[in-house]
Amino acid sequence: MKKRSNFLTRLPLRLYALLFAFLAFAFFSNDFGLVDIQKTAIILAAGVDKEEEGLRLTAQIAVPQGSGSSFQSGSVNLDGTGATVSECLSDLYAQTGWVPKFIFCDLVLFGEELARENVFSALDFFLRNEYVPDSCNLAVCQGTAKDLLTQKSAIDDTSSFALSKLFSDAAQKAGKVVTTTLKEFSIGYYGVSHSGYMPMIQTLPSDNDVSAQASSQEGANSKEKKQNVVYVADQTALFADGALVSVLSPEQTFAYNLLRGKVFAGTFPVRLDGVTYSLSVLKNDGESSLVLKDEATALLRAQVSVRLYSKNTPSSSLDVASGTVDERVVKEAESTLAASLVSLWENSTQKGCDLFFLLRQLYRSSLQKYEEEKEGFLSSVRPQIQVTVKTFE
Amino acid sequence: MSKISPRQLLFFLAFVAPVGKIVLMPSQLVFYAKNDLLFPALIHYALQTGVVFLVMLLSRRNQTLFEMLRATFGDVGGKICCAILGLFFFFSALLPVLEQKLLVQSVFYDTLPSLLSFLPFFLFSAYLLSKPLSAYGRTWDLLMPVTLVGFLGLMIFSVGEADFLALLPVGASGASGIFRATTSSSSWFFDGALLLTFIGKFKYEKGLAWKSALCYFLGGCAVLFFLAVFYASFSDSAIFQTFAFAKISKYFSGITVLGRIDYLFIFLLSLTMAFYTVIPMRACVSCFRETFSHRGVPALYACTVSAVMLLLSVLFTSSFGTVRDAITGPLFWIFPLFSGLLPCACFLLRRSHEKKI
Amino acid sequence: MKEIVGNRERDVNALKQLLPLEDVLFTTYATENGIAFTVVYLDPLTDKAVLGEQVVRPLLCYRGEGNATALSARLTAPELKSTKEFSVLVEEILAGNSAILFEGGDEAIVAGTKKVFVRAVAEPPTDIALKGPREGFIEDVKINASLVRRRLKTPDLKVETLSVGTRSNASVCIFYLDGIADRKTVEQVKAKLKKINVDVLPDSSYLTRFLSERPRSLVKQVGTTEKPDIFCAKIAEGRVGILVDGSPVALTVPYLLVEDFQSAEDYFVPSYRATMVRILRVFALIVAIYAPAFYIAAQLFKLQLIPVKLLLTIAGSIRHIPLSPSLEMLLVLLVLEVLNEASIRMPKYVGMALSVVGALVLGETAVSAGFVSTPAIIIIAFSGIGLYAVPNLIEVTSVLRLCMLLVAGSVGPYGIILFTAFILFYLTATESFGTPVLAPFSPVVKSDLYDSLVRYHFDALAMRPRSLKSKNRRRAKKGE
Repeated sequence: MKKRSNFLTRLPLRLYALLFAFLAFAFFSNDFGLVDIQKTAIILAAGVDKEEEGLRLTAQIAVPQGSGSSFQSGSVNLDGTGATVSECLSDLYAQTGWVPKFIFCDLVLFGEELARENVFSALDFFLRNEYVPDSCNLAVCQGTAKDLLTQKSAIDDTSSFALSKLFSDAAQKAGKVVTTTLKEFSIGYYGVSHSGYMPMIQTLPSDNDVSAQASSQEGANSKEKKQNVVYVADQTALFADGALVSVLSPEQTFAYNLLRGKVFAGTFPVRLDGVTYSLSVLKNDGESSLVLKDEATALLRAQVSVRLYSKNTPSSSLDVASGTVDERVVKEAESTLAASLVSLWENSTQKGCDLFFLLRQLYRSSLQKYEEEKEGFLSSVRPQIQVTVKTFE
Repeated sequence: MSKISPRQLLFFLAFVAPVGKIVLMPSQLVFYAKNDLLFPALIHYALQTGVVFLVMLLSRRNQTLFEMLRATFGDVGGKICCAILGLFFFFSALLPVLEQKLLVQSVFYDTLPSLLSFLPFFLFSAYLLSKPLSAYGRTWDLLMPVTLVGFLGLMIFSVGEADFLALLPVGASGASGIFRATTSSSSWFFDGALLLTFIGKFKYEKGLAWKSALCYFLGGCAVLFFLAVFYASFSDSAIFQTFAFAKISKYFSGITVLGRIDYLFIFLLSLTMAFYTVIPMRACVSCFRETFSHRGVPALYACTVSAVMLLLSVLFTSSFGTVRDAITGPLFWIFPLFSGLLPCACFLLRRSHEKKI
Repeated sequence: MKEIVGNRERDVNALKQLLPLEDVLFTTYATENGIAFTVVYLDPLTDKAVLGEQVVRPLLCYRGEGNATALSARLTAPELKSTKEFSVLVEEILAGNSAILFEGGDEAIVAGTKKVFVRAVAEPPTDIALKGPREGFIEDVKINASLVRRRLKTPDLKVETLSVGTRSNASVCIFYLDGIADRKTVEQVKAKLKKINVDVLPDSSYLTRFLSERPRSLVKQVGTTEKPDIFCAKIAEGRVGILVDGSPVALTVPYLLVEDFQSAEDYFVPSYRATMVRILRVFALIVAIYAPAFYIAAQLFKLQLIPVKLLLTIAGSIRHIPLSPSLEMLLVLLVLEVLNEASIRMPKYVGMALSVVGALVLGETAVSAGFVSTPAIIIIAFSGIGLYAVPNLIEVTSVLRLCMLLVAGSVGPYGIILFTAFILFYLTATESFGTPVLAPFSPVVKSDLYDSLVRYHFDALAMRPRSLKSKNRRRAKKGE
């Protein structure tokens, strides 16, 4: 009896020890999901283009180059092809032996040709993959994404770091760029509006090369001298059902940001009697809402408080000191902005892009009305544009 | 005797019990109810709050459930009931364990790790399951601030990026969608049954019943708020957002500057989840110990339950979807039966037993 | 023979057989009226000046009766007692006292002639305070007791002395405040000490395993201090204190984990400062234990934990390191522990050389040679510094740090979480004399939280901690 009792007391400890020993053995004979950082391709940005048969994925991979205490970070652009993005990644892995990781990917760029077809043929991979952050920025570029990523930026050796400056808070506050993330774009697509937008990135040649100057100071020699470029994203691509349908001009992009109330430090020009006035927006309030009374009306309201930033003719000292804006200039500003809003509206609705998510607002306010009016809703709704410009005091 | 204090029980109801509902349940609700996901959750919480209240009233007699069962059905009948309850708790523990496994593999690793990465959990559970209830009670004291900080941190980081208008229009999914979501999420609501295993293990104080119900409901309100923020953050893309609590806070604007500091809050909540996942297994162990009249040391039951759960988790490695669909689909009725009807039946049986006396 | 018979020669011979030691001296004298007496003493431990002045000289001039009472009245030594038992005589002689056997006396006189070898009362090296008292316990239990008595001048302070160690017979003194300390705890302490069956008790730390309910536990269950002011404060809260002759480290029970995060200085500075420092200590300890583990877990399993630019910096630094991150970290940790151990043990004169070796050679040169990376050195340095923010927990936390590192290197971030959960559960299940070590956090004792990781103003500290089950809980009037 005592022996049995001792056995029962010790049995669980033995079982526990056995379980522990088994696990310890299993651990030390397994790879258990280890990451070797030296064999990992940390993808900073990904570009997807349409190829003849399938897609081409260009991955900008960070390559740390440690040398003692000082360190430089470079990048390398590699591309893989395949019918889908995951096949492209497999191709990439086969070429390099690196395990591609998207966890730090901050930008997914689409070539223009692919965007005009349907971006979701590529975006599908990024949405399904648990390891891709859906807070990454999306953008479209003119030409191919590969060309854009492989070009040398005047601002930073790594083009994705230079591109990230386009999407900074400062840039958004200036109202010159709209940004969107994978999450926001997919919400727009999968929602009732089936619409979305992305910034359209262009490259402009640049003679200044900040990064090259820095390199030359450090004594780096560069045999090849590529033309440096500067990235610009003041245009906005509009999407309907995942396909690019229209592009907003810089003025329309600015107007759209005013409607969203996102502009706090932007400027816009007003031309009056041959003089160009730059007005600085110091306060911005905007709204794009659906009003359902007798007929559906889209209220597009922008209210800005401005200060005269500069003008292209000499001013008196009192004029410079006060910074106030002449009434006529204010009126002209209102009409300039109103014209931008009108063209914005026409550009979006005529191409079938529910840029203001009016269908979503209709759906949320009244399910019944949504079911009745959802067909051809965008073409039936009338805009009501209100622009108010005040002098900031 | 291994006892917990009423305060510890309240902490369990308010801070520990809710964490099991923020892993996969949100995406399950969205699948059927879409923007009406709050209604199924509210229905469950309303029902379970009533059950919690009843169970706490039942605890006034200071008798354990097993003593009541034995008194009602006799020794053999009581043991059979204990065995059935034990099997139910084992069954109810399966989904949380598999959920936890997937969560760990998805959130804590950059590449899909081998199954062995989760297996230390069973060592942990085997250790915990052999300990008395008083140790759990003290742990709940510690988990209260841990969960509070973790949850508040996540919510503070998430609320700013949420568009609560996405919850409109109310009733869009219709009664059928809400009903389907309610039935399919039943497997996450068995707190009433869990509470049955605690009665007789604490001293009933005046007002404890309504305090418990209130605490449980407040925990439920936190879950409802989480669900609201979840849907407000993801809107139409919520349907494919599994492990929402690990993603909900990364859109905070400060993340780009500071890095993923929200992982601190995720880790804190995961700490609480590790303990919560063991609770139904603990209930299973205590039921089986009663069935076998406490023969053998507690560690024997602990190791056995952990080992069987380990085997099942290995077996279901590549078939989680099937298991989930089975548990939330044709087998959903088991949960309202044990966590709704059973406590009510105990309450009624208790009365009839008193009448007989 | 067990008892004295009254025949001096026979008694002396019996004592010589019981103490056949070369340094036990037997010297025979006679009083003025011819009563022969033999003084027996242990040469190394006896203060011969006291023996000569206060024992022998008065007896040489004695003319009275030959009985113990009369002879004792003649002596001027402060500690005098009479005994018939040879066993008591042997014990007293070996303690440094002197025994006087005289003709016709059925009792021997024992005079207190112990030579006291003690160092000066100074600040203990392990508990430095910028403000407040700087006295520390020394190896003599009587002097230590006097330091305690000086601070607690109350008849409620009870001191009970036991003898522990079959060969060392070390004096162990139990201190408690009658009417405040839990009587059950006092009795438990006494019972545990009486059960001890060892031959030698060199230090109070030997007692901890006998006083602990789980002696092999990683977690302490007995508190320690070398400062009399802290010792008295703990007794005043309701704890039982233990001093051991030959050890400067005092023990206190019940033990709460939170007391290792508190220092005496916390009560001599404003409450906000005390709170800040305590929270800082907790933070330092968390960094010490978790920083290396999270660094490894992030590198091996979850890169996302590190911001991308920092990650690239780290990746560049470890590019040419031959070891895996876990092994590298273990190596650096091992080097740190060896340096730590060597710096404690080595002679002062070699200290300078070791500092140079440690800092320059092992630090900078190892990095330049590519054995270890800079981030690893930095992480371990932070961890090492953080560890010493709570010196009383160094033994536990250094082991925890190592375990956490091993777990992080094999299981990853989830392993850290599980191990943390395990440690928390383990701590909640550990008790010290019926008091959970995690009190007042687990179980929550609201009133005790005012002096835990935060320190409220003294107004809020009018009651003694409830966790210690003290009887008289009020220690100050409210508002004072």
